[in-house]
Amino acid sequence: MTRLSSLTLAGWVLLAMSGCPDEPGGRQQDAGIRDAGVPQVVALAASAKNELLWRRYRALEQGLANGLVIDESRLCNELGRFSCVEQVHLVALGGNDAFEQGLHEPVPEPTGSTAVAVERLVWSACVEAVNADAARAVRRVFLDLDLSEAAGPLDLSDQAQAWAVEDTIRNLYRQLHAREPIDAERQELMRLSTDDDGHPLHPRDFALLSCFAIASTTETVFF
Amino acid sequence: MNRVLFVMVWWSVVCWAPESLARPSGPRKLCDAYPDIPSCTGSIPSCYLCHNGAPAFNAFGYAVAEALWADASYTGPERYDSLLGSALSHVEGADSDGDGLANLEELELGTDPSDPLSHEVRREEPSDEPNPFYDVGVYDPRFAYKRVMNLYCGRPPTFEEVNDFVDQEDTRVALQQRLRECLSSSYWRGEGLYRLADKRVRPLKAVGFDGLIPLADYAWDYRLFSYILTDDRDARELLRADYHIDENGERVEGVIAGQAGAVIGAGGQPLEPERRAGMLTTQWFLVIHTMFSQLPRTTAAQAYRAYLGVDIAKSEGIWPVEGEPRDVDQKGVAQPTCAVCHSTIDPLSYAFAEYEGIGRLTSPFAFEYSGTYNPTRTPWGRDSVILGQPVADLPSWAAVAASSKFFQRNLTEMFWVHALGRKPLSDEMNDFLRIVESLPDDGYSANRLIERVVLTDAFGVP
Repeated sequence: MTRLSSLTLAGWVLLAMSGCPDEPGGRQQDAGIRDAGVPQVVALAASAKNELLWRRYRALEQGLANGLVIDESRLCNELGRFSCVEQVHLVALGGNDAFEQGLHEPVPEPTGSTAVAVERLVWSACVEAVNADAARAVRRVFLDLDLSEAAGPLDLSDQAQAWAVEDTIRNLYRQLHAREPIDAERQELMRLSTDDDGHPLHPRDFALLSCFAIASTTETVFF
Repeated sequence: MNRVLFVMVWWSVVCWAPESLARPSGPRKLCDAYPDIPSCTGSIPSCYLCHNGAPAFNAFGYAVAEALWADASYTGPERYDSLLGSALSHVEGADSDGDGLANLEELELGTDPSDPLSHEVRREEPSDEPNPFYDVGVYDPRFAYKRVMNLYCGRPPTFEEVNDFVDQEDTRVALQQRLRECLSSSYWRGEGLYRLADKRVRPLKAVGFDGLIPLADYAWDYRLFSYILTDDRDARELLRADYHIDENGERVEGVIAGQAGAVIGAGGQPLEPERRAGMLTTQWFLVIHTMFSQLPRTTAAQAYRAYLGVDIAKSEGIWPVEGEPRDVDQKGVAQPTCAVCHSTIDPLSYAFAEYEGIGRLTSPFAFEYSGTYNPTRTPWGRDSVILGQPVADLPSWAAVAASSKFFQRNLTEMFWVHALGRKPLSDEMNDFLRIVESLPDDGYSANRLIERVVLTDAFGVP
C-alpha cells in the first residue's frame, strides 16, 4: 500500500498543477511531496482562484460506472443490499435525502467521512470491474491483461505483457479522467506491477491496484 | 444602604439608558439612500448589517447610531426615519471594521462593513510556466465543458467527448450546444432540478401520498417545478401557474380529483384554477405549512424564503407595514420585540388565511377540504401587503412577488449557488447582478439564465 500512497500523492501533484496553489495567488509548492518518490514537478502557472467543485454522488457514480464499464446497480452495495450511493453513503458523497431524513440541502463541502466513502465506492467498483472484464471475451477496461486465474505473475521483460500494462494504465486514465497520463504517473503506476519486495504481481492484482490508484485520486472527486 | 444604592442604579439604567435603535424600517431606509448597492438589488439588508442581534450594535451599526445621536435634530425615534440617511452619509468614509475599506466601499462591493474578515482581496495574476492542462487566468471552454457535463448532465465527459470538443472550431458555441443538450436531459429534468426543489417543497415521506398518513402528494410540486424551469418557459409561472403537470409530463387544467380510493381526499389538486398561484397553492404546500393555523405565518414565511430569497427568521426582508401587526389572532405579537418582524410577516400572511391547510375532520378518520379555498375561513384574507403593495388575494400576492426583482435575484442565486457551490464574491457581483437584470429580456427562461452563469468568468476561468 505504500505504492498506493505515493500514487495518491501523484494525484495531488496533478491537482496542484491543475489549479490549487498552496497560498492565495502563490507559487506552487512541491517540496513537501518529493519524498514520496514522485518525480519533481516543474512549477506551472497555478490558478489564483484556488477553487474546485465537488463531484457529487451522481456524477461520481456515473463517472465510475461508465469509465469502468459496469452497471451502476453493481457499483457498491453494503451487505449486498443497500446502495452505497443512493442510501448508505449518500450524504458523505454530497447528496441529500429530503424525503425520509428531512435533509433538504446537501452539505456544502466534503465531510470527514467523504474520503472513506469515496474509497469504499472506488474499491467496490474496481473489484466489480476486474471481475466483469475477466468474464468478457474482449476486455473493455484492462485491455490485453490476462485476468484469468491461471495466468502467471506479470513478466515485464515480455514485451507483450509490458505493453498490456502500459495500455491498461493509459486506458484507465482515458476512461476515468478523460485524458492521457503524464509520464510521472505512468512511471509510478508501472511500479504497481511488483509488490514491496520486488516480486511480480498477478495481472489481476495489478489491474485492481492500478484501477483503485487512478480512480481514487482527488481528480476523481473535484473538478 | 447597598440595597438602596442598587435600586437607584437599576432605575437610572432603566430610565435613562439610550433608547434602542432597532427599527424595522432601517433596512428599507438604507436602500432608499443606496438603491444600487448589491444588498438592495432584489433584496433588503438583514438586521445584521447594523446589529449583532438587536438591540446590540455591531461596529457599523454603532457608528451609525453615534452619528444619529450626535445630530442635534434627533429628538427621538419619531425622527429616526427622516435622519437615518444623513447619519449613514456621515459614516460613509469611516472604516468601522478596520479592514482598510471605507463603509461605503464595502456597501458598494457587497462586503460586510462590520466584519474585518469580509473584504475584497485582489487576486494575483497567474505566473510561472504555461500550464498545459488549463488556461489559468482566462476563460477556458474545456474547463467549463467539464463543469457543464458534471453539473447539468450528471456525469463527467468521456475521453472521446473531450477530444471532440477541443477539436471544434468554436468551442464556446460547442459549449452552449452541449449545455442545451444537458438542460434537456432526463438527469436535469428528473434529478438536478428535483434536488433544487427539495428545500422549496420540503417533502416528508411519512405524510406524503405513499406514506403512513397520506395528507397530500408532493409529486405534483416536483413535476411543476421542473416543468416550469425547463424548455425556456417563463419562470414566473412558479408563482402564477394555474395548471399542473401529470406523471406523463402533460399539462392538466382544472380541478384534479384525489386519488381513487384515498381515504382523506389526498393526491389531487382541489383548487379551482382562478385561486391558484403555482407552487404556493399546491395541496402539499398548503397542508404541510398551514396545517391548522388560522393565520398561516409559516406558509407565508416559506413562500417569502423559497421564492423571494428572504428569510424572516434570519431578520431578512423586513418591510414593515404601517399599523401592523394588528395581532389578529391574539398571539401577543404586537409587543415591540415581536413587532419588528411581525409588522412584515403578518400582513404577508393574511392572503394565505383564505386557504385551508389540513382540512376539516369529516369523520373519525377523514380530513377533507385540505388545500381548498375558503373565503370565510378568516376575516383578514384580503388585507395582505407584500413588498409595500396591498393585494386583495393570493394570486395577486403571487403576481407582485413574481414580477419583483426579489424573485429575479432569488432565481439567479439559486442557479449560481448550484453551479459554483457558493454565493457570488465581491469581484463577481457585477456579473451576478447583470444576470439578475437580464432575466426579463431573456423571457424569464431558466435555461438562458444558466447559460449566462456558465459564460461568466466565475464559472469558466480556472
